[in-house]
Amino acid sequence: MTGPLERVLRVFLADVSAPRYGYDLMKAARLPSGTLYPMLARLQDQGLVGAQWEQQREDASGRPPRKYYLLTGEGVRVARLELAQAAAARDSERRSPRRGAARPAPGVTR
Amino acid sequence: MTTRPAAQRIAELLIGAACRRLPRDMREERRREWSAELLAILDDPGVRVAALRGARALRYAAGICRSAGRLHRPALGASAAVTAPARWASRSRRRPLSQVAWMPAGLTAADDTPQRRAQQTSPLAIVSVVCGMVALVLGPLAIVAIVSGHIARRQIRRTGEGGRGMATAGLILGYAVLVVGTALVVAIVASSPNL
Repeated sequence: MTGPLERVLRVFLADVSAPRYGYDLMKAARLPSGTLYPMLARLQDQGLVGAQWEQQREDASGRPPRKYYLLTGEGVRVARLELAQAAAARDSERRSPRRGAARPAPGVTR
Repeated sequence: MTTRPAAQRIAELLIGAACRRLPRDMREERRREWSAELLAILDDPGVRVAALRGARALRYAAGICRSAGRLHRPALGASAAVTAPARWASRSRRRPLSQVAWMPAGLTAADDTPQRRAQQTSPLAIVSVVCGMVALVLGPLAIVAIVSGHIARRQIRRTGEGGRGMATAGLILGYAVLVVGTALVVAIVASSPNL
């Protein structure tokens, strides 16, 4: 699992019931648009992330509706599992750095 | 405030160029999504300087333009993929080759030969050379010409599209305006008796 993917999953898991729009995710995960959208598209193809259009609001502030992304039930399960495995891999790496087969991907932050 | 409409217009151009590289059935939805995000960036209350919001919007649109080809193509290799169990993989909806994202509209797989592609001109190369020429009058556009020129050249190298000369022309114009313009500004400031 790569660092950017891990950051996105963490942002989603911080509140599994809070849908996020693209720019919101970019800021929270500190990712550029060129990384985020292909990743979201892939996660959608895998059925781990769902998307929904914002309901047109009544107050008519003139803002166009945004598209919101949210982990599916399966997505939450897989994301928790993957993050736990990544953390465990890093943990064992720290304890025995020579034998560690599972190297954290470059760019992984904590 | 002139930076905002300029940034918005250029960003919309880039988003339009990205959408044209998507299959027709998903263009409209993506365009609506990205346009709404663009406004969110330009109206972001967390960034107080308008020029910074404009720069962010341009960076956003450039990233989309650069990555549009990767949007709905099945990932090559295992790069960055969730190592999902096999049953996820089998469930994922793969598109037939004729619908793959980088295919320009109206073309089928048979049309996508290197010869055919060389006939298509990279939209970003056009953006670059046009911005480079307009930059002779409106200096700051040189930055757009340079950025889009570099992106266009990289895409052309990868896809074999036409327009390499245009992208290079945009780059040369952009850099020339940038250098001459900066030198002029420095000279004016240095010779100004008020400072």
